[in-house]
Amino acid sequence: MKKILAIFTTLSVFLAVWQMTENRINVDRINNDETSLEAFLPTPSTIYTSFKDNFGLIISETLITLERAFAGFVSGFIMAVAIVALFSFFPILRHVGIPISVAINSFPIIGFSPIIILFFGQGTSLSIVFISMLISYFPILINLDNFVRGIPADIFNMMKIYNSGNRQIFLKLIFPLSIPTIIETAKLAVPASIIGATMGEWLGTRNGIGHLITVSLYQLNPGVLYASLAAIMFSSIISIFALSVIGKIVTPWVIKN
Amino acid sequence: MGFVPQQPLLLPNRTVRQNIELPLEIKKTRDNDAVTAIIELVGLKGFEDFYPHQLSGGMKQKAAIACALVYNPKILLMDEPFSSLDMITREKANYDLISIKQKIGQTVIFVTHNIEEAVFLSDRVVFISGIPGKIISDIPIKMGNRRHREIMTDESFFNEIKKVRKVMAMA
Repeated sequence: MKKILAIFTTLSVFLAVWQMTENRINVDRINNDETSLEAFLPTPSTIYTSFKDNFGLIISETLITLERAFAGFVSGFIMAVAIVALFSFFPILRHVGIPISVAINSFPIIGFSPIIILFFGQGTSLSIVFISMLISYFPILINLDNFVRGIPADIFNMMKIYNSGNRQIFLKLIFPLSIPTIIETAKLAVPASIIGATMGEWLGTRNGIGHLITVSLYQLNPGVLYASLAAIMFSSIISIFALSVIGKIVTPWVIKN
Repeated sequence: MGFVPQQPLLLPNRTVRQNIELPLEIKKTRDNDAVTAIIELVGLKGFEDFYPHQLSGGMKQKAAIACALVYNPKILLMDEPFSSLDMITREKANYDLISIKQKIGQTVIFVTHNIEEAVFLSDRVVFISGIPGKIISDIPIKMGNRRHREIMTDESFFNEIKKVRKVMAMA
């Protein structure tokens, strides 16, 4: 209750201060131009009005983006979990797999995305899903692998005393112990996948929230721009919240401090 | 062989009962009666559904003993199982171990650096040298079944300790 109150208060103060920027003038000292700040930073009330007026459009475009992001996240997630599982069966693969993954992860995927879009063809969902997958795949892989390697050797030895084979070590030990980490990394990967999808749309589609952002930018309609960003942000927050709830249900044994 | 390590190794995602079931699950010989019996034997009845992080150090070690005994091994090897416990809990753990031992048929091999603990628990105390580990001496302890709290202050107990100390001084 205290927590909710604290969040609510902070948010209210933040929005109130923001609302006070209404009618402020922005001075461009280079061109000696005076413009209303509204062009760059519309007030919360303006954003809300834009959101209400374009409700159908924003929601339908957001759903398109979320669909792509979800497809990207799920494929990246399955790939990362499968690869870490493979590592635990064939440890030798890790020596190859991790350096390659780290190398690819340092590669600026966003910068590379125009090439991906050209490869899959402009306007296709597949290119967006692919970018989103690449972006969500690495945080899951790296964090999950770190966790699995951190499981104390003593516990593995214990399993060997019970005569358990690799398959049982995976099913009884590695996988159940990893579930909290899987959920935590999903919390990182879900927003990443949504950002990836939005970026991809920005560059190469005719629909989705990323496209709506581009259009509203060109139409000098900051209200819609910010409303679109807010829609994306809320989708992320809701997903993270849902993951927290799932985590609490499936891993009641996790110690809370 | 059953093995009880220095630090109790229980899986945090399993309750006491599920931890004790683990060796049986792996050996594919589920036996609920055996699990219930062993929980009662080590004195964890009522704590079956607790997770390891909800247990005290002594109780965790009891659960670890139960894990090692549940598949009925011929020998139970305990590697300084009580070294991480404080002295009072440790003594209590010793009494509990004696009462468990009296109900089971297994031979227990108990590694310790504590002479009192060794004398109190054992029928034989075997001295092993440092690397390379060689048996230096094998001392019989003549206390029969008189392993209870009172014996700790009894002269016969001190005599056995003296005997062991003498051997240790020569080594």
